[in-house]
Amino acid sequence: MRLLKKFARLFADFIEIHLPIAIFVALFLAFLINVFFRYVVRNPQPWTFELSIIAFVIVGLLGSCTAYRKEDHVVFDLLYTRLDPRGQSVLRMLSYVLVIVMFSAAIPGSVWYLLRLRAVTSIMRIPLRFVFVSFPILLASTVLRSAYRLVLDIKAFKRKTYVQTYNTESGDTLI
Amino acid sequence: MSWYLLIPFGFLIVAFVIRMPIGLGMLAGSIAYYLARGLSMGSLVNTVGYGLTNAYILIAIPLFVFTANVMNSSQVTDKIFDFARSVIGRKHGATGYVNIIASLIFAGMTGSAVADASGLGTLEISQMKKEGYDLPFSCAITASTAVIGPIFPPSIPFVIYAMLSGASVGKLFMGGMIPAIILCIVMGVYVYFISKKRNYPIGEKVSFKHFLNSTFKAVPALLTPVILLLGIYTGLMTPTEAGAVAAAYTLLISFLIYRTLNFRALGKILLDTLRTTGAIFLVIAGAYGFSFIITSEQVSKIVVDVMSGIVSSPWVFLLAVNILFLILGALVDVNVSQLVFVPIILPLVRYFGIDPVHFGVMIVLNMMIGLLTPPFGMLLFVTAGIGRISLKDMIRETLPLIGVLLIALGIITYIPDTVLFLTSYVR
Repeated sequence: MRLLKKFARLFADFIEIHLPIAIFVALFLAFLINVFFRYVVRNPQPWTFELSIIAFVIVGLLGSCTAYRKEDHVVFDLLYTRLDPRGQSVLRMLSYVLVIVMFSAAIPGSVWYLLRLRAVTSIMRIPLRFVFVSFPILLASTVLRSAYRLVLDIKAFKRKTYVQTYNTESGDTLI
Repeated sequence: MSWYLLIPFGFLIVAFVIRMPIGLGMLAGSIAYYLARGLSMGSLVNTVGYGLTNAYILIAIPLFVFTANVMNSSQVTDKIFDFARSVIGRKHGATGYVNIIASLIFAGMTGSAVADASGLGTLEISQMKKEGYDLPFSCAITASTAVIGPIFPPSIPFVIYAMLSGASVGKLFMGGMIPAIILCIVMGVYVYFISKKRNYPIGEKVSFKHFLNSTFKAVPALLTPVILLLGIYTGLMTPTEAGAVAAAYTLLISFLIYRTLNFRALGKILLDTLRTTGAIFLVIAGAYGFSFIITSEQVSKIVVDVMSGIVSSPWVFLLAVNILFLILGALVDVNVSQLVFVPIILPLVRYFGIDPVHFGVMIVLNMMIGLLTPPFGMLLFVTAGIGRISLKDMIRETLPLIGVLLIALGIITYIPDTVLFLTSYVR
């Protein structure tokens, strides 16, 4: 179990942190190369433009996984903060269930579509499915994280402590 | 328009009630709509994927966020603050004015109100506390001056608005300049009167040598907005390219000139950039799903038909929109109100013949004031957290400043030339 958790954490770190950061750096460098070749060498390199767009889509969508992991997403918590820990726990679980159900329903259709998608980018001929795959990854990552948090919340509910046991001040339990 | 439209908006309301991330609520609502309509999930992937690949201008967002994070982490804020102090010199409530000037300069580098409040804010509030200003005022003026951030170029909300409306980013950036100055003036007048009334401290005497010294130290940082704006307005670079060059320049000065940044800090900056970008992009992805639904259900046409029957003149329309968005701003996040509600309003803007650049600057300022209004005012939480004061004290002290900002909003709304005068010089 410990080994499984360790592997899961490494995998989550790769998808949610290391890969999107590396791609953001690539985006940034592609832009600088683009500016250099266009204005200094006066020989524009179209691939830099295409690479930055591809990188941008991946960074935006995988970055959303990172933001979910760190609970940075915009929430409206006017009602939530007025509830007792039990009520808060119920709302969190409801939210996770809704995400799991709806996003899980979208994964097979998205993957099936991407498997059949033959379109490629115009300059570097990169299959678009490699770019758009970030979308089902976002869905899957959100489902898995929600499921994990749901289990932790159910456990806390059973113990009648109700408090959130992940992303606490003392430390992250991020898998 | 069919009953299916209730599905995504129903999900959005549920997301509000159960504290589900709004972006996830929008995506879940879109998925439910597609399923109910029997549409393929492939079209949702296409809507989001192609939507993002075609929104080239949005690439500026992670770059502006990155620049702001580099600026905040490399203590460039200290240099800007010292420079602003030496400019203001001996005046009643000098640090209040310094707060305004520093925010204006910082606005020329970042384009985010929250980045301004959390970066400069820490420095400003601690300095004001040290000088004997009362904490609620220090926090309130810091939060209010942060509103200038997205009004003076560069600006993340302007970039998003440009994507939604098709307006030129260059014109929006240029259009924000005079309104930013108006904001500085109205807040400066407020600081003048409140400082006299409460007898706030007089600023330190600044010798010419000290002025030169602080200016010299600030010059590398002050060049950031110059590079950005000159790059864009000489036509040399697109706003996105200028964003990348400004980010590279801030990295360069932080590593080589100020020597306040190391590789470990850079790792954290990259992670923070990713987190902020991801939070914005989830709402954008959800908004693409929503915009597809709004178009399919012809919501905009119905809104135009209904509203044009009720509202007869552009003046009344602008008043109604301002009131609506001030209420929305108090309740929902800026990105949500911009990405969900602005597209619904835009056909009316065209119907009434209002310049989209003028409307964009007005609506962004309106939404920024929303960041100061309870209960969702993000700037209130950020600055009250920095100053460690109660939200009640913070709100009490911020209310008159909101009034002052509303005067500026009124001027900008009903005198379009405050926005459009400079934009006529942009091709």
